[in-house]
Amino acid sequence: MQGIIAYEVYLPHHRISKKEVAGFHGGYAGKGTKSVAHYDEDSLTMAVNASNSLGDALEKYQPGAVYFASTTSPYQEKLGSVTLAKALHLPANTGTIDYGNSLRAASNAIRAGMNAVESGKGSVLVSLSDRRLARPKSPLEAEMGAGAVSFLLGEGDDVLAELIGSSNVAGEQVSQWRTAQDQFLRQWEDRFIAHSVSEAVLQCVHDLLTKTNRSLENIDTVILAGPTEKLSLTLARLIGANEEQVTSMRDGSIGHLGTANGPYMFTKALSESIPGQTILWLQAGDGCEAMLFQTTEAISSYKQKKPLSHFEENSNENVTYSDYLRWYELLEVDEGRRPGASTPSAPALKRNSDQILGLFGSECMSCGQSYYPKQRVCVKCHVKDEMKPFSLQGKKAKVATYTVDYLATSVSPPTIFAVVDIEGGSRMLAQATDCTPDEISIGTEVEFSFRKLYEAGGVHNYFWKVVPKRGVQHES
Amino acid sequence: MSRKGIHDKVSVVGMGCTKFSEHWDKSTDDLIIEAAHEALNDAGIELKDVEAAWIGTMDSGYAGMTLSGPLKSDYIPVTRVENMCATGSEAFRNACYAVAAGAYDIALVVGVEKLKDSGYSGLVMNSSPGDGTSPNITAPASFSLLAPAYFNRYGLDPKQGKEVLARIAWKNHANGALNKKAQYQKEIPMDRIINSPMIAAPLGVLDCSGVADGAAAAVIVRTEDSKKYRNDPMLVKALSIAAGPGEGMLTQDFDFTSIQENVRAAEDAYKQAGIKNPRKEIDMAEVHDCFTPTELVIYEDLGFSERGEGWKDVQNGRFDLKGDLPVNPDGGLKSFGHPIGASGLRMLYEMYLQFQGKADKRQLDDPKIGLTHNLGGYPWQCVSFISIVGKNLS
Repeated sequence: MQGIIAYEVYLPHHRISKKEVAGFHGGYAGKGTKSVAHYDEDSLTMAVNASNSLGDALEKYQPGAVYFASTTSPYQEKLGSVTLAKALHLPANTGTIDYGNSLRAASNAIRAGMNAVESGKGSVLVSLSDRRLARPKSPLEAEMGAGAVSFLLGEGDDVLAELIGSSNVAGEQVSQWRTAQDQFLRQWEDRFIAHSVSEAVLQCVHDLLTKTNRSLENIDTVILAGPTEKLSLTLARLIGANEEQVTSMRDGSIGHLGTANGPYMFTKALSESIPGQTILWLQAGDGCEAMLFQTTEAISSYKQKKPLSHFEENSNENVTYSDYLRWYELLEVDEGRRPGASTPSAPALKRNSDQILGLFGSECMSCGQSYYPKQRVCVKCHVKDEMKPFSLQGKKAKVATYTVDYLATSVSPPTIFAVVDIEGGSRMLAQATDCTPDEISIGTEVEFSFRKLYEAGGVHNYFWKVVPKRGVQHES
Repeated sequence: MSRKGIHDKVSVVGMGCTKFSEHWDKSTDDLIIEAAHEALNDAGIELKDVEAAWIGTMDSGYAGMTLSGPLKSDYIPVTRVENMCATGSEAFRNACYAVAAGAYDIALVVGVEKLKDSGYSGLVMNSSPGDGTSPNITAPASFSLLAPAYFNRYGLDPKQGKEVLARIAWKNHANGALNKKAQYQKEIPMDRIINSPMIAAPLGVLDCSGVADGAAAAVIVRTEDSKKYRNDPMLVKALSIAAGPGEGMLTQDFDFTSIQENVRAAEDAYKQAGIKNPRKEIDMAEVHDCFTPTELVIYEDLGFSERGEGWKDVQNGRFDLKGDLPVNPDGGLKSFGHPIGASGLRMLYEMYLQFQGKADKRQLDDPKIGLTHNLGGYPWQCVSFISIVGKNLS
């Protein structure tokens, strides 16, 4: 059996209401909220966090390749999949491929991953993530959210959903697009998109159903991942899907997640499925790609480490439009009378890449004391060069003391710094994020989250911060 | 860690100190010239009599030319010293050892810092290129880590804790109000300190030392030669500096209510000076009150207070000008200001004035033994300097 072995989602902690957005610009306010990436999050940080939740499955299956799909990769030229693999402790000979340029990057990556699995190349980690930006006041602005989904594809009895078949149709058209220089997503008129995209979608559905010898009414769930939520529902209606089949597509709280949008709806459908159900995933974008999955017995016992309720119950719904402007760098703000951040040194980044991205410190083999950052000489027993790597990822951690720094340069002051004591005996001074000062005190349990500290000299400076441990989490 | 030290071998026979201030109209060179010549005049010597010099500055100049250039010294050795905020003390320590060793008969030490030309708020240090992960925590924030840890351990509620810290700032401002060379020469009421704008919670701006420009200088000779220059030299009884391996942020053994480097430097200095009971034997102290919680922790680390009792001693006035053990009689970093490289020498300057009875309205009643404490770095890892100085041979 080949298909999806495990899946995890990452959604930012923050939401902005459509009312808040409309309140700034004036005009009609739709219902609900959208997810907002914090100032220290981008598509790659979210992909790392979603993938990191797959921890045990990655350990068990040792993926031979990592695919990163996003229309908003942090670099035009530099692979996100390589950083992702490093953060996940995967060896250098892991295959690393980035997909982009269209919402269809999502299905491209999944289908390519399944091809690799089918051709016997082992399991594949696919992470889909986006943080798309729409022009302020445009209709897209209130809808474009941020989030990531990661899948482990592979073979064996753990498969939760089997890939039954797939099809694809290219559609040359101008519907949703962005030039290499554009900061904001562009979109043609809704009604034209519904018309033009429906041609490819209909063709794609027809091809797949023919190939797999099925009819649409016998499919349990239809996911139509279109350019917007409204267009997705319109297109689903156009192909003849009924209300019950498309229920998993409705989510008024997080907005459209770009390349992660179809995958997100797919994981929602998976989490609500019983064994033997069929899920048709139609991914629109410069044409359409269709994949038909069928759930297996294994689905009934699968538990996400961080289920959707984890993100839903703990979000901060009170992001103001001014926060949003600052976090997405839509407003140039004064840095204060403090020096700007300096470009991280490329040689130092290279030397310390395991330490920075993999959160590897060291552990003294003589006395057992662990350290972050790595040390050569043990401060306890003073032996030299008797250390082995020790990663803090997934370790329990709590606050020993803390401060709220109003002077440190930040897009989102004040900066909370916490002295964090980590299971195993080490300690580090970490930045706390996604929380207010009230949520941190001595003894607060925290967990590591992958973030961008800052960007300087064109280098995105990634590192781990801590967030208070919240909500539903399933320990494996 | 018992070290022999140079107990009473060298003495200070001349000192100078500029006003600490935002010296918009004075350069680093101007400040060095002013402090150095005040010290030379005070010792009754000329620059040509000086055989070697040390210049302490964190970032206001590099190499010995920082001193030889402006002073036009005659090709004598000049060493530029840096040890973060303990720079001035470290320059002094090195000069004392050179004179004690007999390599030179007369040494000049100058400490200087020009902070207000940068245009930045607070203290900014040049840092070497790195991998970008070292936290951009500011100095007040790093020392404010002590506050919640101390309050939590000794059961002070946030309001009570804030009052204790404010009481330290209040005392140092009250002392500085009596000092013509201090940056801030006025008393500040408790409620204004408590309600000052937040910088690094729970510290407000009035919990922080003054950012200033300034310089201070000393002339050092061997004690046997000191009477050639003056009848009332200041004797150096102990010099200690402890540099930490960083345990505070590597292991979980430290709880941020104490700074281990302080404890170690104090043990060493007390041994060198033969001090058994610092609380009784020390008549006055100048300590590194960069931020109010630092001074609170120092009281306990140096044995001025029992563990967990420092905050009570603050409230009962033990460290006030009229208290049992006056701390920071000149106003401290808080109100005298903190031009990094100059501060360690400024502390010694106050001891010198007090021993000579020249401390004006701050004059204590015939102090005989004084301590200066100067710290550079962070509460979890630093260099901590302590000197014991005295009026008489012992």
